[in-house]
Amino acid sequence: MQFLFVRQKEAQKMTTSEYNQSVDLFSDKVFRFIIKNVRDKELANDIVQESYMRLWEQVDNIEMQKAKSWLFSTSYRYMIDLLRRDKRKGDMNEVNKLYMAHNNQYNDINEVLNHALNRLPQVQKSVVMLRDYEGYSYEEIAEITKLTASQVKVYIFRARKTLKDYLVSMETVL
Amino acid sequence: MNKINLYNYEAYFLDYAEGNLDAVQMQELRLFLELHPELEKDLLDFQGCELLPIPSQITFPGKHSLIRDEEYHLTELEMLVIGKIENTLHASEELYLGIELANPSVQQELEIYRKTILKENKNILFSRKNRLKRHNKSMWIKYAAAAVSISIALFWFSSLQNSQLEQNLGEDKLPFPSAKEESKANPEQGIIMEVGKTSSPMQLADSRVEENLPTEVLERQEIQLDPTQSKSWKKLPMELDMEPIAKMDINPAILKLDVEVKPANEEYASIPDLLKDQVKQKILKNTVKFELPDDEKSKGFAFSLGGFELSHSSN
Repeated sequence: MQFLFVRQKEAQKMTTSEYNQSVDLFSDKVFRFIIKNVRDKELANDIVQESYMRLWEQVDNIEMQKAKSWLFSTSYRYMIDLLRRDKRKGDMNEVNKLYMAHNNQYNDINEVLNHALNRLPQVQKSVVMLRDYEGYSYEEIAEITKLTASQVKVYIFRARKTLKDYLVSMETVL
Repeated sequence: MNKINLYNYEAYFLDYAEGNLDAVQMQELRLFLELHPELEKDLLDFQGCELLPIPSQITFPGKHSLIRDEEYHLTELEMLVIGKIENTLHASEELYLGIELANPSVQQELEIYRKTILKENKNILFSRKNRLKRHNKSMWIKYAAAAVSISIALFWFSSLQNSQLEQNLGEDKLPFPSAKEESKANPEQGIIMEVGKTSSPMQLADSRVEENLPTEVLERQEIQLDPTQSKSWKKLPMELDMEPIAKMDINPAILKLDVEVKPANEEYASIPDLLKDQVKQKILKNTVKFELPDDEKSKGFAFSLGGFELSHSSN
């Protein structure tokens, strides 16, 4: 009779070095994701900073491999809380001109696409960005946004349809 | 139901209004009202409570806004095209779409959907990275504090030992004059002769008589204590790179101990008792120098002081 002993691998804590590495690797991505949603530089800065502060508090419970999705999840939920509280959602008066000016660097399609993206409902915008920017699967996006994978798929399909319709309406660009 | 009276007539009135009374109960009700005509008004009130049926024409005007479209206005072809750019199509769906793509309009649709894929703008950077980074300051502080503490402790301990040693080796406590003074008193004899000069000539002569040692034939011998080789009475070769005793931690209790000299035999030379204290002093000063007579100069010698045991071979 053969016995197989499997030793359960203990969850590895993040070291200070790994935490700093996560700042270098993920903070730009999280910042881009948030600022595209809130369109407010200072608010995006605060959300990213708060997310990393929470990561540091939980550094003993999180593995480095999961840090990225943890950061996206935390920053997304914190952003939703702030948007609900401050009712910043869709308020174009608070659009940061500096970051809207980044559209100058895009080609025409991207410029139109960004306009179309800003017309999407909050959830659709977030899931399609997580899908396209970070390449997350429906399941991973569901975990980050606390939706089901089916809901994520529906939201992404709806978002694609809306974006496509917007592009078609801009005949001069196309 | 009991017969109608002043305590239950309201129930009769209600049943009458709803048409639930039989012929007998109707007769009783009629007789009761003849006896109490003032209650006829109450009976009419009950009859006015009948609810009218709700007209079927009344409807909720916002019904359409509540209806959810299960297909969210996506045709089957659109689902396939979006599924294509999302890489979620099964083999059969891929096959079906492949057939549909023969149509140029479907191809154009697919190309437009491909343009909906967002591209990350990597020029947008988070500018507060340095604020987020952490440093192990606490660990550095701990290490530095530990290093400083150890250094202070070592310095203090070393100073304490040196002061105790110097105090114990002070001139008033030593039985012999210091090597420096001896050297001044008889500089031409050097350290070797200083051993012989440590006592008075009478004492020295007495000791030589007692020990029956020749006084003329002296050979310079010099040893240094090596605590690493002090655990046995074996003959040990003298090593030039021995650690000076001044670097050792000397227990002050050693100073109170007597020097034990290994008894003379074929292997070891005898050491005069006179030299015991001299040996002790010299041990504590790191260097022991004395002379051996001619007939024993081929032998080694050995002695111990406290935890230190020392032997030396003249070979």
